[in-house]
Amino acid sequence: MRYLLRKMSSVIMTLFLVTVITFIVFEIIPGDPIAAKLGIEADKVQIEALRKELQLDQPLIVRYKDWIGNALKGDLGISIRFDEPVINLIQIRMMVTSRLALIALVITIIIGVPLSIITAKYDNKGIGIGTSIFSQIGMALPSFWLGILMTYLFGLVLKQFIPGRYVPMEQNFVQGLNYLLYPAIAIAIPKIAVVVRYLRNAIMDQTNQDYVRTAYSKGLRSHQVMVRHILRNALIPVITIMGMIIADILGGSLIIEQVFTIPGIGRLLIMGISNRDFPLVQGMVIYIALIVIAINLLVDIMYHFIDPRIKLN
Amino acid sequence: MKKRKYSFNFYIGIVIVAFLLGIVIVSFFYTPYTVTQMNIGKKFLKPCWEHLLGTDHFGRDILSRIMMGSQTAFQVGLISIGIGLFFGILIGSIAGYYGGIVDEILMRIMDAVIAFPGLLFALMFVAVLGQGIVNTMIALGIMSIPQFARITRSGFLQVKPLKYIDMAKSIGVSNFRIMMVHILPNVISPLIVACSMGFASAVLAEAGLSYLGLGVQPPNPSWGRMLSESQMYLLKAPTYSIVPGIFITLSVLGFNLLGDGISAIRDPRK
Amino acid sequence: MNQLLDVKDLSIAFETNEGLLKAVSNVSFQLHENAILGIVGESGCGKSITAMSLINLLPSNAIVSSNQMLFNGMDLRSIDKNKLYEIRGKDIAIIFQEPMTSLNPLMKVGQQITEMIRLHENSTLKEAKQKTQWMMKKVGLSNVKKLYHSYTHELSGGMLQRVMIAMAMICQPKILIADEPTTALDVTIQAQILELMKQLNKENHTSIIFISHDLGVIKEMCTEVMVMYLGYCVEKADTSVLLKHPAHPYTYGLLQSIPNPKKGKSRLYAIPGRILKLSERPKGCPFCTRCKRATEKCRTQLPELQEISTNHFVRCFYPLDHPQN
Repeated sequence: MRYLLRKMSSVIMTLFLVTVITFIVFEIIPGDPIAAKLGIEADKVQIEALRKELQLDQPLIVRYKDWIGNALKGDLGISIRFDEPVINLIQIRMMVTSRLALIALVITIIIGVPLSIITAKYDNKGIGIGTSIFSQIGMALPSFWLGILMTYLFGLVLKQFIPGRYVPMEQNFVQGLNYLLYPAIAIAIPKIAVVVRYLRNAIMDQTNQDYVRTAYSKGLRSHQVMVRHILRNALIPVITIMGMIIADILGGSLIIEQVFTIPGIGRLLIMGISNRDFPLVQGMVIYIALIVIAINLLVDIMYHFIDPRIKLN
Repeated sequence: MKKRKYSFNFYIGIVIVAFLLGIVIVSFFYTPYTVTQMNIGKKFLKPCWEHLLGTDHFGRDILSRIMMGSQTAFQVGLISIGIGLFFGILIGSIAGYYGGIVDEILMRIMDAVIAFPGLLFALMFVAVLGQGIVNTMIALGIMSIPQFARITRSGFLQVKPLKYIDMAKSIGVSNFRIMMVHILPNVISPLIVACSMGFASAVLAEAGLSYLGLGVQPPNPSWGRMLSESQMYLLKAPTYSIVPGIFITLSVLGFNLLGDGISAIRDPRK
Repeated sequence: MNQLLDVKDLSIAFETNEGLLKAVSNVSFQLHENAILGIVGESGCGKSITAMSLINLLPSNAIVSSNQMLFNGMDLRSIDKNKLYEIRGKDIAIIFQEPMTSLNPLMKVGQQITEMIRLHENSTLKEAKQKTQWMMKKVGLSNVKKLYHSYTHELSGGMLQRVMIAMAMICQPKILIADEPTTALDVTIQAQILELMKQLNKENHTSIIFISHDLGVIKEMCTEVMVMYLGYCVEKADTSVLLKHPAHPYTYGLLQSIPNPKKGKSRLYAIPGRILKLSERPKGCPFCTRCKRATEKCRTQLPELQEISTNHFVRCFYPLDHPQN
């Protein structure tokens, strides 16, 4: 409990600083957001009115307080380009991106974990070096390049999907899932490499522990020992990097959406940046950062649920 | 056996990095063709003797563009790491040396910078400052500050309780000198490792930003932008898409392995 | 008394980077029903791996060979995997040296016992839980309902060793292998655990193979003793015979180094010399480098294990005085 309080206070501190950074960064915009919105030929009265509307005449702290107050109420401002509340724009796109990220996460886990087990099981020099080389290469692969290669192979050559023609899941579940599958794999491959690199070592460490010998002495079969005893212990160090992996998957989908023209938050963000739609970009940055912080907190809490030893301190 | 495996990483890393560095150096004096030289009649050539890696949609030699792109990648990597290293050491030293509230505030800010996932922080900067190679380097540099700050600070925390620092202070050695002579040597090798790894992620990030059209702008050549240009002609010229990706992967791999290898040599237990 | 276990000429070697390392050489022993067989020797003498090899718990680089390894009339060398899994835990159970690390830190201790029941008996989870708590009480744990849900880091070494014993005994195995069960514990707890094991041996008719480096503990516990040195059985006899008439110089040295408060000797005896590594094993008698009585013959020739009186075996050219000699 005390741990949770301490953790929460540090998360709130981080949240606060993240909002401050985001706020300040958007204060140093070169050029005039008003000129961007009204064009160069706007007259003085119009400019003054908009200045008031955007509260640019207020001091920094007041504006921050207003901005954060509104943000807490779910109001992230109005997009200049779309003339719509930013939060609405984000929420629609977030549906798509969260699906993509979720599929990528599932793929990472259902491939990464068994692969770690298999490579850890055959603990010899060849497999050790082979796994190490493959995971190093895997981690170095840029997911957007993998995405392009997959577009070529599965889209253009094997014709498993039509590149550029995104199908929403609501419209056709199977096709929608199929379309998200390839970008998800592209995001997942480097993350699988990360999982294998860490989990394989953790499994091999755990395999030499005394309690594993005890488990065998009970008459458990080796797959039972692996799942019930070794894996549980080996996953603990991996869970600590899980938050980072999820953040990376979310970050990776920002770019991959561009490769596959998926209308998620990544495309929206790029559109916002290209159009210098600052309220949109600012709102999205804060939104995404918040989600990632929340996920990290969640992973952290989960970690303390899984490992009973930590509750003591 | 373990030790050999790690130095194996180190050697492979060295070889890859040396290879890429060689390309960078050669590109300053020689490229097979000038990168801007278009030849519409020679569009989308497959790799052949005249054009080892083929040509692009304007008939430009891909090998020459890759070579020029390596300059950009290394430039972005070096300068952003330089920015990160300079401010990281500065902030880490101040935090570690003074401790207390100063430390708390600085490190909290560093935590907050790390809390932005992936490219988001860089994207935010590019959105505000505008696109281009300089802003890309600044954004990636700022992104890498916390890494270096944390390492520097941890070095201070390790060394601070030791007696000889007190002695140095008591005989009137200046704060700056204490930092430079007594503490920095202790963190130099983790910093080198972080530089190598950071270089790898800077190259990857630059490629990502440029792919999105928000990083390096023409006429500066960039592997990432080559990828985004090539995507339109994927069916016609797949090698055009494959080659820049290989070079990005190779750079990231080389610097990661190098960093890994250095840290393994430094601490064989790991 | 029936023979439960009959092992003949057991040898164990390990494949290592430096080549084949012989860890156990031609060890033979029998275990009778209700008996407690002690295996004693310094660390690295092969006493633990001798016991572990019975149910194939050695690392994969171990090479085990023997002429016979009969358990209850069944040859352990040729049984199939499924039978082996059945024997492990159910017929032959083990208590390990370090209770703190030998239990899974992420699993409730009660669950770890229940897992054993569910593996070998057809019982519902509820029955298994009840049986677990009953057994935990039986090994002297109190407040078992709460303890059932504890984790290893919440219990003391003595309590954990009781949990280990409960786990090993829960399926009423025919043989219990106790691998230095008290070495990691406080002296006061040691006595309690030994007493508990004796009691379980009497009540459940479980035979025990008791492995220890401490002849003082062995003499309290065991009916028979086998002394091992550098992978060889150097002496084997009933406990009473061995204590009164040790025939091997090594056994004699071990007996001398047991602290004896009655004698009031201020200085404790220690066998001179150091324990050799397996790779440095001499050509002749394994003990010749530390034996005061060693001759040239000892250094070049390996003495055979000979029966000097009924059921008293010794591997020495010059056994110490013996009444029947």
